[in-house]
Amino acid sequence: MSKLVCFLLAMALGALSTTAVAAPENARSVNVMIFMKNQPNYEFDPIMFGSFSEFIRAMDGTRLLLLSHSAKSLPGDVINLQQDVLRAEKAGAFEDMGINCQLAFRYDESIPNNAEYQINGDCQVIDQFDGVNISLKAHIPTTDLPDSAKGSDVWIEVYEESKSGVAIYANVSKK
Amino acid sequence: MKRLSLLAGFALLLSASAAHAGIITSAGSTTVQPAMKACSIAYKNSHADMQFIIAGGGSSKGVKTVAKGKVDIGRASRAIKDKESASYPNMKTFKVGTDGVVLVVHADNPISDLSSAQVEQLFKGEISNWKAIGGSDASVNLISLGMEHGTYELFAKSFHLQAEESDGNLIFGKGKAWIAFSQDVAMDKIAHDEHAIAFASVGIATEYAQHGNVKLLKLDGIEGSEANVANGTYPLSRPLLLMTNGQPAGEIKSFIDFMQGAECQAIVKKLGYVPAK
Repeated sequence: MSKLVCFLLAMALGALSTTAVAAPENARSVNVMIFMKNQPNYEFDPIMFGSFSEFIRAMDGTRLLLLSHSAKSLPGDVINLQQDVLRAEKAGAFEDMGINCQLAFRYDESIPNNAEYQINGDCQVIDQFDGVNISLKAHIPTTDLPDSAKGSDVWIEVYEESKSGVAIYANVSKK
Repeated sequence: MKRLSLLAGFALLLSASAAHAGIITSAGSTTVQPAMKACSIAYKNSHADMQFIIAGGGSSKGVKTVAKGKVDIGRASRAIKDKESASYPNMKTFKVGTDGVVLVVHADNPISDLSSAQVEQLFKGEISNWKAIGGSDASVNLISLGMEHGTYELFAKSFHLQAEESDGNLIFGKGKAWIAFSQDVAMDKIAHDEHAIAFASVGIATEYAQHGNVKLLKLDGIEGSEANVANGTYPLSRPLLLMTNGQPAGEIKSFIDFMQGAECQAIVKKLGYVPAK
């Protein structure tokens, strides 16, 4: 009898721990890539199909500034992306290059069978384009991102600034 | 070399949308975007398996990407330019409505009406303080959409503005306007800045005016309402277009027909635009 109780307890604990570890059904990976043109006349496409590696391969003619994979994100999460380099200059000063983004991840439950998530937020990009220092403040409007779990793996351009040559793409996947 | 060619071909295939059955892709005007999104949701009631991928980018991007076969349907909130028609002779256009472009300020701004001359002076920086036109003693903060937007093109043409881009701003003579990536961003900025002025589509501006701290200004005494856009008395109006690369067929034709049909045209009207039919 005690063995049976122990077995049932172990089963219950196992189930509990599985629940604690497994991601909820609506959890998704929010993937962000930021590119900068290598040539001023390069044209970014608004929609790109493909996995991480396929997408990067297709962006020949650009420089990848940031690649981010925020796994198990839930609607309502705020995602902070940061990548900074402090470089010592000859004069003893530091040069700051990098990216800082705060992105809100959302899902609109009012739309029946909604197959899209949304992101919006702000990014700051400090880098060089065409030999010129840039400090770009990018506001990303609320943008629909198709749920790759319910269709194709697709990357949506959520921001582009022609002068600095910066484009931000995002993707939502279950992987 | 052969491998390189194969890789290049593969990369091209990635961005081409034609290979994705059951998916309709669209890019371009952010003015037409809310109507397309709303209509795509309605369309899925009878075509549950269809997936829509709708990106922005502005009218010029809509023209280029559809003409180059990168999306199924392009969107523009302006007439197609002669230069574009000549470059892309296969491109077909489908009108889904008409829109007006209105001037928008914070709801607490005492100004309610501007003349065309005042708008021109404001954006050229010849009037830089609201006090000069009966407002409060505060600097005018200009907000503009980027030059790739159809809304910008109509606005700039109507008020004889020529801009140069510099450090995230558009410079109109002495006027310096902060560039908003989309109309939503522009409206959000207006809602948080009592001294700012921007221009936007009447549909989007009206929606923000109902829910946010923004108000629409009359232009030369004429209200930028749907009725005035429809009857032609409001001067700043433009067509809302869908474009395809050649005659549409199959799912794409079916959806364009739906957008020009009664159900979607009712949605277009509800969003504050003037339906095409």
